[in-house]
Amino acid sequence: MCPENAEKIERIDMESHIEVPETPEELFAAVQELEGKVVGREEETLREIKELKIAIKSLKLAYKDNPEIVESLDEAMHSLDEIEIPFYSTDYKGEGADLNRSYGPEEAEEQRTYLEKYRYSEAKFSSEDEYMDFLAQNLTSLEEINLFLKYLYRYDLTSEKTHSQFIENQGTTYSGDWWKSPLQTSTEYNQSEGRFFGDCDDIAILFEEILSRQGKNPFFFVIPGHALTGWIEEDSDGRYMAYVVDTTSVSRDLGDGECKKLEGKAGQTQEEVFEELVNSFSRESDAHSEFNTDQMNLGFYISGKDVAFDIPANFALAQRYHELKAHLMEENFVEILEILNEEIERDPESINLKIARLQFQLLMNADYSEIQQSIQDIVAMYAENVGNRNARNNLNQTAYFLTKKGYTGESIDLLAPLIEKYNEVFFDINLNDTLSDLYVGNNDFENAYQNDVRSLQEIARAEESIQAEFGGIAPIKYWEIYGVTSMDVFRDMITSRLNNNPAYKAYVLQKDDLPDFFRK
Amino acid sequence: MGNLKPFKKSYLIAGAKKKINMLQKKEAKLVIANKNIEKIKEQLDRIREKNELTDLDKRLYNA
Repeated sequence: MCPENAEKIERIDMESHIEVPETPEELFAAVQELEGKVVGREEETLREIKELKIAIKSLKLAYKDNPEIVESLDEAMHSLDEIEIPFYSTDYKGEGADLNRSYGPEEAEEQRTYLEKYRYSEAKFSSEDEYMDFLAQNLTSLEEINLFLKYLYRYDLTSEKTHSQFIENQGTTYSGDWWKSPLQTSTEYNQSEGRFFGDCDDIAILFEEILSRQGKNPFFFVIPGHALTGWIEEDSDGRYMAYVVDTTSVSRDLGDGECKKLEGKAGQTQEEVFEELVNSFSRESDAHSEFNTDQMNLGFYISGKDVAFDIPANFALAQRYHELKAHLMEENFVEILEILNEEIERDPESINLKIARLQFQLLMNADYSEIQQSIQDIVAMYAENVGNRNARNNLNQTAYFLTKKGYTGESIDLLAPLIEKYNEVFFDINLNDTLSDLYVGNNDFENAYQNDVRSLQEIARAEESIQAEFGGIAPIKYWEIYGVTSMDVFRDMITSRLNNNPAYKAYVLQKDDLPDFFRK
Repeated sequence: MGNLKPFKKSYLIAGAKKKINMLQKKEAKLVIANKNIEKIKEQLDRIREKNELTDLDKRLYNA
């Protein structure tokens, strides 16, 4: 640019405070309105930039004999490249920001090539199955997987866009997240960017399918706050290479997703290499426990049946992922129990395997004596696992299964003595909420009320320094992206409990010392 | 995010808040981008005004 015209490209202050509406209706309306507006403006801006670039190139040609003008034009072109186009960039500046790439014009071109190559259309593929095979045939290298994720995928937590089922395998297990099928994830595109979208589990499920079709032996696994798909290969020297497809932890914003690899050292077992890989990247939402292969859960999405399973596991069980999946597809629960019993024999200290066994005993309506034995085993083991976050989640889940099967009283016996111990270490509103549900289920309204008041007090006490996590309470920095406080989460919990149980609501409302929170 | 108790509403609110935040930032960025584009346009106009184009140049420029 000519010196007298040189003006600094303005930068936006990303730290400025942004107001968001309070009620859900206002929020969703605002999102829709804003999205329409921004998408329109984005397209217009991109078009203008493109036209300007053509104009500058033409002018350069026209004034090629005037070095002063050419220099000015080069500077103008540079300024144009400097302009941040939100379409191609993200704002997250924290840990993991390396995964958020700002695309320049060349990358934008490459993205178009990738979108063209990989996007599903009925014209290009005779069936959806053929499309999955196409992905499997083409996404064979780490580099290609990463470019595929970079250009076609956008992390998105907005579940309302998906029509995934609420996961519940025949009334005995549950999960709080909505999982999309591999096809749904890879063939539905967002409006603004034409990319497919989903969160960690959606991508993990998609890649479990793709990698399986390649004959690899992947397993889709779940750790607190995150889900991934991993696989292990052995090289000619007998060393293990571990891989995971990772969308970065949920507390990161807008990662593109990445396939990560760790080359094991000679003498390392595959379990060690795998554990090292998963622990090598930051999982901010899981600050309380390192990933431990003895405490992993395995996830299963059974395409075509709209059924998903989430099974507490250990690494040995993960190695039998495809055996398990085949049985789950056929609902051969007897075989699964046999596998679990074999693994429990090998690893009798694994609390996860015992919980998994209990889940399948419940699923198969085993004799109550067997179930009771399992519960006693598990309770004894939990006492040793107070600080284990996976154990807490699984305890919560176990209590839920028991309630589903009508063992409400037993669930309270299981939960009540333990929850006090857990809360001393790490207060968990989710666990406390389950306990309240159980009390209400037993028509023990007084205990339910006392328990709810306890949750309220804990949250109020800690409100300054914490925010809610979906499964409990985490330090504020992990959840500022979502802007959800523990009070918000608790308000939802208490509202649904009161609305679903009119008798409990009536009981609570006649309380003299009822905190204002409950009246709202 | 597997074994977590469902509370769909707060999940949706969290997603919506996150999204609105992102869109507002995007919008703010676009405003800046448009301002900068305007400045570059003005500069190009000044270059054009200062320098007469030949017929060939004009053809190239308009191409």
